[in-house]
Amino acid sequence: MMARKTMSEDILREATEHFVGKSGIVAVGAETSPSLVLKIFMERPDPDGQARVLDWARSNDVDVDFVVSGKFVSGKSLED
Amino acid sequence: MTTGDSLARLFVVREFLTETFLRPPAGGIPRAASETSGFGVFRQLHTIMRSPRPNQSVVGFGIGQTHGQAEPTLCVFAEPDFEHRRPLDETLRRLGLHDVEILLGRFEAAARPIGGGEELGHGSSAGQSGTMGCVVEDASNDRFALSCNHVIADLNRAVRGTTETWAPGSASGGTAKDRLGVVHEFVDLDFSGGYNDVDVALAKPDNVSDLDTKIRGIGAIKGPASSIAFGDRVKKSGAVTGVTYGKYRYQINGLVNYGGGSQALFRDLLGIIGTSSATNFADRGDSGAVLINDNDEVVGQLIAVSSGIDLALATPIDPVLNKLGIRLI
Repeated sequence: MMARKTMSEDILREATEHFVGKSGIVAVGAETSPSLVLKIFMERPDPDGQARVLDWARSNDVDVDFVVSGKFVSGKSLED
Repeated sequence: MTTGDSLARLFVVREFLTETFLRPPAGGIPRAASETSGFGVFRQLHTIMRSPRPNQSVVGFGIGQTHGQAEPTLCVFAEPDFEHRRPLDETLRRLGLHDVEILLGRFEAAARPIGGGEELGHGSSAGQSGTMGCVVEDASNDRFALSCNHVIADLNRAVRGTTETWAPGSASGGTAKDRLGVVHEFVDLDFSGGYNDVDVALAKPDNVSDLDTKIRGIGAIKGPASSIAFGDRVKKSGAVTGVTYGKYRYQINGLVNYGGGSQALFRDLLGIIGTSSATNFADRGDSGAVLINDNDEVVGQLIAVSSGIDLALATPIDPVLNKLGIRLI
C-alpha cells in the first residue's frame, strides 16, 4: 500500500480524535514499512468501525491499514 | 504417631533433603545424619538417596502447618518452572510423604546496589511492580532511580517524600525491609481524556550508593539519543523479560489501560516490535525500562505492552528528562 502524501501530525491528531476510544480502536499510528501508512490498532475486529475509518481515510487521501492488537496494558501486581 | 513424633521425623527429613538437594554432591552420609542418627528414618533416607543429585529447581525445604491441618507437613519451595521434579517426587513417595505442599517462587535477596533493568515497586503489599530504567540526576546533582508513575507513584496517589519505594516490589515478595527509598517526584497522569506525554516518576534512595548506574545485561549508557528513525534497532533490560531487542516501527497515539477502568491517552509514543524469537520485546512488569539504541544512547522509556501482539509502547526520552529537569547518568 503506497502512501499518497506525507502523513502530517495534523492527520494523526485528527485520526486520534475521530477514532481512538471508539469502535474498539485503541490507537492510531504512523508506519513507514515500506511506505507511510496510517495504522489503526483495534482491540477486536469491528467491521463498522473499519468502514468509518476507510471513509475518513478516503476523504483525507490517506492510506490505512488495520491490526488487531488487543488492549495496551500497564502494571503488574501480586494479583497478576 | 504423636504430633511430636511427626514433627521430629519431618525435621530429619527436611535436613536430609536440604543436604541432598540443595548442596552440591559431596559423597558419604550428609553431615546432618551423624547429628540425628538416633532417628531410624535417616538410614532409610540414605539408602534411598545413595547418589545425591542436586535439583536446581528446588530452593528450600520447610515444615509448616498447611491447609488448616493440625499435623505439621513438609513444604517444598521451588522455582516457578519446577519441571525436573522426578527425583524429589520419587524420594517423597518412597518415604510415604504424600501430604507435601509445593510452593512456587524464588527467594530474592534485597540486592544492592540496584541498577537499570532490575525490579522495584510501590511500597505496599498489593502495590504495582515494574522496572528501574536507569539512574538520573537533577540540577543539584542529587541522584534518583527512574521509573514510571504507575509503578512507584500509585497512579498519582503517592505522597512526595513519603510514599515508599521497594526493590524488589511486592509482586516478587518485596516487603518493607526491601525499602529503597521514597517517591521524590512524578508527573501526574491525566485520566480525563487529555493527552499524556510521559508516565514517569523518580525514587530517591535512602543511600545513594544503593543505585548502580549500569543497566543489567547491557552496561553503561551514553546519554540521550538525538533522534530515532523508523526501523532503528533498540534494546531494553526489563525486570520480567530481561534483555530483548526490537525495532521502532510505529509512531502511536493511543489509550493505555491501567486497571480498574482507568485509561490514559498518550501521544507520540514509540511503537516497538520485538525481534527476539524466544520472547516478546516486553511484558507487564517491564514498565520503566529505558530503550537503548545501538550506540548505547537512550531513546525512550517503556510504559505499556499490547495484550494481543508483540508490540511495546514507550515515551520518547526527551519529554521524560525535560518535564522533571533531570539528566541521564
